[in-house]
Amino acid sequence: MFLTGVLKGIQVTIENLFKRALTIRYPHQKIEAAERFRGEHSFDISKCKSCGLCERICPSRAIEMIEIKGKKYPKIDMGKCSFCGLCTEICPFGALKLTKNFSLASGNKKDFIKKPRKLKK
Amino acid sequence: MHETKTYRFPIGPAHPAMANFGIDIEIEGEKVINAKSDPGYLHRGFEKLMEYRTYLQNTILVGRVCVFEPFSYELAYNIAVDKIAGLDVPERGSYIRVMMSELMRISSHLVWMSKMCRATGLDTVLKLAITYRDYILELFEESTGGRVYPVYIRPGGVRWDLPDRFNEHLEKALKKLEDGLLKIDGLMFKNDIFISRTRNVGILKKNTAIKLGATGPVLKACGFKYDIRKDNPYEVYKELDFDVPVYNGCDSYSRSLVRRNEIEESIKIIRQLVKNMPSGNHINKISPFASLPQGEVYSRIEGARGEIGFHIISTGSDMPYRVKIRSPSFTHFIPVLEDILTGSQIADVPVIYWSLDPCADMDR
Repeated sequence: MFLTGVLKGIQVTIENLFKRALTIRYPHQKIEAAERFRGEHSFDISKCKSCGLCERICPSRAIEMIEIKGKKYPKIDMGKCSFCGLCTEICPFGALKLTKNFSLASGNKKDFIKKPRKLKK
Repeated sequence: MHETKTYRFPIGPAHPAMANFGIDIEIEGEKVINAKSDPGYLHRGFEKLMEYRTYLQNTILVGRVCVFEPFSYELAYNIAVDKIAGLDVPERGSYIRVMMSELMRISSHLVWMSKMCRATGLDTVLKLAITYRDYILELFEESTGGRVYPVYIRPGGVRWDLPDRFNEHLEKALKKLEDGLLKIDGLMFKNDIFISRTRNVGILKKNTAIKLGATGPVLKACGFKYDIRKDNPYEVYKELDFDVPVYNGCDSYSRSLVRRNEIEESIKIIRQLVKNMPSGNHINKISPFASLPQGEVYSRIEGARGEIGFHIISTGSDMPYRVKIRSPSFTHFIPVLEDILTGSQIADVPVIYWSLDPCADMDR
């Protein structure tokens, strides 16, 4: 009674044995992320006018404004960030943006706190 | 000499056959004589967190209630906020909202399929269903920027318009899904092994289903044609033509068939939406820090697991005064599961458990 069920399963397994694999060898091959992908922030310090809207809108409270040479710039805690993109949407000057970079893993806790100058342009 | 007839032991929460909460069962031989749900391991305090965030910030939070269907929670929450703020959603925005929540329903049912098959020992479908889900996740990544947590639905519409070649990619994915469903049919729903493991297992009586507050596929498998999309239509469901699958078996097999046929209906709905998609604006924006007028609303939608509801009280500030979430898994996994498990065989516990489709939304 159950033989047909088992045979059907084996048939699918054999069919797929000769098909191309859907997975890729990740560190060597990469799939390009979509245009709207929300990854690590980029920050252009020359465009920032220190309005502090990004700090106000952040739902995870990951952004804190810190002082550099008398002006305030955002410091982002990547451990708290949920990559929602509200800060980039509200930024009136286009200083904060989200890039396609998703490989943020690190063994050092300090690497997750991105000071304004440490963020890539 | 001390003699024991019954044994009590916990299954889960850290058990390969369980999701994120445990069950304490009492057995006599092979028979379960008493079952008690043991929730609370995934409580994240959403309702309280939402009282300290503005209405826009909460849209990021609500999707996290249930990992497998964030769109349904986003939709239910935003319908409630639209009602409080008195916002009109543009027609195109409404169409995109419905399209995304139907895609999410398919993706959620595919995850359920893979887990149900793990419970019954059909490991081939476990991998197949997850593979087909990935085609949908790719669509989410393209249109929303996030694969699992899209954060796409906003008060007043949707965040962005659909990307340029989205319809082309959508049609390709739907075709693949239809082929995949036929393949899975042979392996799972018409498979003697699956049928014998699920038919007449975990029977939920019709009266009990109503009494204990079952909704969604669990109620439809008991023969009740109750679907909020039909009975209390929201967004553009009034204009759409689709059927509500209903079965009379009341068992795990009927619940499986309801979910399988819901995937087909969802594909039908998406095709209609693509065909009739209007052009124009996709959102009526409100200020991110807007204070909404005083009021109290309840919004409800049909999620993949059942009725999802949001009760929001606004006192006129920029944050809600109180939010109450009604999640389907809460009723399915405390009263309903305890009722079904009593009297069942111990080997059927994982099958019954997964036939109800558990999710993290029971703890919130």
